[in-house]
Amino acid sequence: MKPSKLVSGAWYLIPFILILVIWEAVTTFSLLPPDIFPPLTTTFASFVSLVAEGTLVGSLIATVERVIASLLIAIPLGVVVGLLMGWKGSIFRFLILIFTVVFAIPKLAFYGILLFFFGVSDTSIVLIASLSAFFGVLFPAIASARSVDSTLMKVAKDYDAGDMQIFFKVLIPNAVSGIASGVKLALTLAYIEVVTAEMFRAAPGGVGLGWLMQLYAIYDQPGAVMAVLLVLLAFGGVVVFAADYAEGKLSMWRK
Amino acid sequence: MAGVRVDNVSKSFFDFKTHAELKIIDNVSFDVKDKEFVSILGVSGCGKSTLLYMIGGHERPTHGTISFSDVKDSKAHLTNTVFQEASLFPWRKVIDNVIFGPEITGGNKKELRTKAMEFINLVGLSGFESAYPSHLSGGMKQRVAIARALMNNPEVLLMDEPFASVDAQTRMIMQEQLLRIHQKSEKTTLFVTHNIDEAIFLADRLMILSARPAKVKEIIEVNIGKPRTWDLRSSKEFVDIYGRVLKSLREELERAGLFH
Repeated sequence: MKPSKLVSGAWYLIPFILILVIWEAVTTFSLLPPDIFPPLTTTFASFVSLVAEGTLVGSLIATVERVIASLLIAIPLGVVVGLLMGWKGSIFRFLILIFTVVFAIPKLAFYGILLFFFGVSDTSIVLIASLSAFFGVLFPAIASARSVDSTLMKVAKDYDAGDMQIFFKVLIPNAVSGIASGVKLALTLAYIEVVTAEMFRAAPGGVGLGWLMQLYAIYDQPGAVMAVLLVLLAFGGVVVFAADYAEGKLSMWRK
Repeated sequence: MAGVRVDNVSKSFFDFKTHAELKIIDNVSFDVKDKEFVSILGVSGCGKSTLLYMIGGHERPTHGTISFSDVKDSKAHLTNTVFQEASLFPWRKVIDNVIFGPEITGGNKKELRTKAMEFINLVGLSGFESAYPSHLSGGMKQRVAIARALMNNPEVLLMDEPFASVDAQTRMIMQEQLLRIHQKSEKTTLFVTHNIDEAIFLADRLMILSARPAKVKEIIEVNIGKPRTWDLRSSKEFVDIYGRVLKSLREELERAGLFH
């Protein structure tokens, strides 16, 4: 890497370093009481002991699994339904009002109903997160189907492609890069919803980052809360980078 | 390969501005013989492309019929169209664009790719089979579109101003290439263009359409043997036909009130 690149790359890191410096300053000069705002050292110690006792890793895995499970439901469903809606006017008119209304309210409102049916379980969390993530891909998928070049549709028909072939050989590949931003949004929405649902009522098996945070807040352990928050942030970063990488791989045909 | 018969075909659209039927094509009849190359000329907006789209089955005539004779292979496609604008699937490599037609009909992709090389060579693009369309020039893209149409082996090839967005020099090269391809494939071809020079250079016969609503104004035989070379353009036969076509088109422009 060229030195100039290193220098310009450093700008990305400066805010994080600044935050750490301010954090340390605030606690060193006792600007906030340490039992409300824990010093870095306490946070780090909590982090180490949480990792050592396995709670943190177990919860991270539980949360990640829930996020992945809900994406596995939400993305294919959102893409297929969205493309069909963008392509066929009748399907669009049939579904759009329901989706608009559901989209407009906090998805957690449905969590109560899910709890009646499935109790505090992975199923409840995954379903509520799927619902939220579904909308992340639905609207970009509708837009993608509508933006298919009309000449390409003409070509497909010129070669006698049927509806199924148009769907799989034109609409789906055309959507791949068009809905990458939607997939990214879905990832974020699923993550938000899983963590929120975990906080809402005791998480199944007592594991989940959201639940862990809630628990340590109740037990008045700010160091542990901060440690969990840092893990949440780190995982969020991984999610964003993974999504960017996948987007690049999937749309190699763009210049 | 096959012949085409266009019989008393008319086409009207409903014009939402005037709330009246707008006649685009008015009672057009003509025949295209098997293996023949026919250029269709006419002033802008006269309905040349609409006529081609009706033959290609993309639009329906309001009146009249279009039929195909001497169909050799009843399972083959009747027509395939090379469109004016970029029509390649951007997410498919050149070779996968070329096999699109038979892939839809259910061919084995691997075998098709082997066969596609023949057509990629024919249009002079060997070496580019694995390129994505975004890396090709406009002229190269149109050659891929031609290869794709030929690969599907339709009875009749329809071309809607395929070189309209190609620069003049590339255009000249592609015209000669198309002429060669036509001689080799003997595919019945209908070629819509604005370009008089191109129309004469390629065609066995020229059809000139009148200004809207389009009627067949004139059909001119191009009695110049093949193979043809570029220097044909300065021959007496060529220049004579050129003059005749130019006069005919000017008349239509005047009739349409475009000279004032």
